[in-house]
Amino acid sequence: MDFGIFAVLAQDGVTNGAVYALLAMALVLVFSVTRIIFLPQGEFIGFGALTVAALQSSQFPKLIWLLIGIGVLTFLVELGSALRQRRYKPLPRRLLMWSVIENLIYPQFIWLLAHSLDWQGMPMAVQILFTLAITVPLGIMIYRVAFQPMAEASVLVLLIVSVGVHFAMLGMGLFIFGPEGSTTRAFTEWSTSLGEMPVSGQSVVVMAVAGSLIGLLYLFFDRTLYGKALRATAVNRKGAQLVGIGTSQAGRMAFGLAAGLGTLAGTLIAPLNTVGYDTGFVVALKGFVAAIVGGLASYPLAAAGALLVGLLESYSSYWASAYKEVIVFTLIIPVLAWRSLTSGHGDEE
Amino acid sequence: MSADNNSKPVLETRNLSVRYGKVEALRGTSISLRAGEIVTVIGPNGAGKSSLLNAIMGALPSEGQAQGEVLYQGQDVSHHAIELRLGKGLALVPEKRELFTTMTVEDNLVLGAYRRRKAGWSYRDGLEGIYAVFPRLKERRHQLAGTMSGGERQMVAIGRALMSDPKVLMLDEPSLGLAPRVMAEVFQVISHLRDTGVATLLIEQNSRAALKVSDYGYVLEVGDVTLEGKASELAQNPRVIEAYLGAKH
Repeated sequence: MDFGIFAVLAQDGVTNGAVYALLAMALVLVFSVTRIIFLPQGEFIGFGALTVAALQSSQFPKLIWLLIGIGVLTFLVELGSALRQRRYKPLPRRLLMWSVIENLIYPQFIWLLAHSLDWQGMPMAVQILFTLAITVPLGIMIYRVAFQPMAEASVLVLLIVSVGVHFAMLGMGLFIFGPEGSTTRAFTEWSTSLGEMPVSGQSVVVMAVAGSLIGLLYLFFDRTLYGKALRATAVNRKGAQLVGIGTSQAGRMAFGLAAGLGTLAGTLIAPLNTVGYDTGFVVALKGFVAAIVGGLASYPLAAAGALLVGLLESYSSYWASAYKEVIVFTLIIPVLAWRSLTSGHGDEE
Repeated sequence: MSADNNSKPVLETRNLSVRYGKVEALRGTSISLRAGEIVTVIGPNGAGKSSLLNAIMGALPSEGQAQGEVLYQGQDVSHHAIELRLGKGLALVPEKRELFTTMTVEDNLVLGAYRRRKAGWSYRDGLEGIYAVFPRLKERRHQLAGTMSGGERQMVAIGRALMSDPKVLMLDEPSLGLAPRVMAEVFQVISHLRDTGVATLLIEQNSRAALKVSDYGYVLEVGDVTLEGKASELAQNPRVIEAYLGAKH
């Protein structure tokens, strides 16, 4: 292998690693705040990419039907829990009003927007923003319906629910989008070369977007009250409750952010790969391997793990392409051995 | 309830019981405290003291169930979520402190005011108030809470609770695990709270020190209030002396 190939593979690995890093961050975030292993992450990759593709080919983004449906379900769940607590004063009237706006009116509004505007002609950034306006509330609603009622359950029970949600969403994905995959427009046709190595504009965009998102996440966690509240919940759940950071509020925030990051990861890979309704799962699993490197707790280690996974995948696809997935997923074994040897045994559950 | 102060209680429990499954931790307890008052609940381990505070705050673990009334300024809050009780003016410093150990002292304090949003109020004002009470926290505000000493952690925990601007502050074993000198410091802070108009409900192993700073006291034994009275009188009660204050000093 000469240097040229080596460099191209490295570029490829870092580009994919940047996407895995976003996914790994989302997984660490959700797990540390809610103790849920966020398996449905992969569906947001596929749903995000396919929705952008639908907007670009002037089709109605059918994901909105799912948003409307789950919105109704979420409203019913909230109404039910309010009625059950009716003997308790005060009746959460304001809460219910918000629930109507968030879960019933908002999805209709999105539906109206999708119908009334010409999305095909819009810049890609606007299309992605509109996709986020569908997927982020979807993530929050899924938390509300599937996880919030059992937020205190054990990690294993939450994982089982997570598997259930994953399969349910996968099925709905097949129903909504069909078995065919799609690709989206390229972000840019521009390319350059660095010495001998050709650099595709696509890679540059992916790395820049992923890098700045990671920077923004850092600022969010470090500077804003909501970011600090999420960190606080991850550090000490009881302490967070005692200062009024509700477990469910933190959970919704985490799911909203994770759904958004999954969607963005999907739109980043869609111009290069054909993305189907079920493509996301394997991609998200690679993010999961990276998150394991960070012990599902450390953001910087998870990001480093993501680069490792990306590079490993890239080089193994050159030497042993048939085994590239095997090699990447086998990484989890030495990582787990290393973590169990180096970390203390203080971790509960 | 029989204190000779005729102002209305700011906090009152009526027949408050707590059970964990089949185990009854607290049986029909009724206590009350008034604004600016310091009330101590003393009693042996396992008497249900922590359950009492957690039930008042709405912070019982999920397997715990509370029954009875918790009246805050005359209003029953016993079915309110923690956030609502916090917003009304209840705050709890739990036995284990429950600090955000990997975050700075200042972040811990700022998060204490998470629910406190009012026009014209910035958490900076709140921080200044806390730093005036605990000057040491100001020096260490950029240090991680987990790296502080036991006494300092207790101060962070009390400061964090005060950031929510409570009318009733509940302290669960604030002197637990502290060196005697540090303990004295904590009790000094508690007696200063009286001047700010905050009512304090205190639970202590160190009954002697607790009764000294308190106005009123309850003795809680195996889930029941067995004795109550002015703190100065309780400290003289032969039974209390024998059981909780040890031999004569």
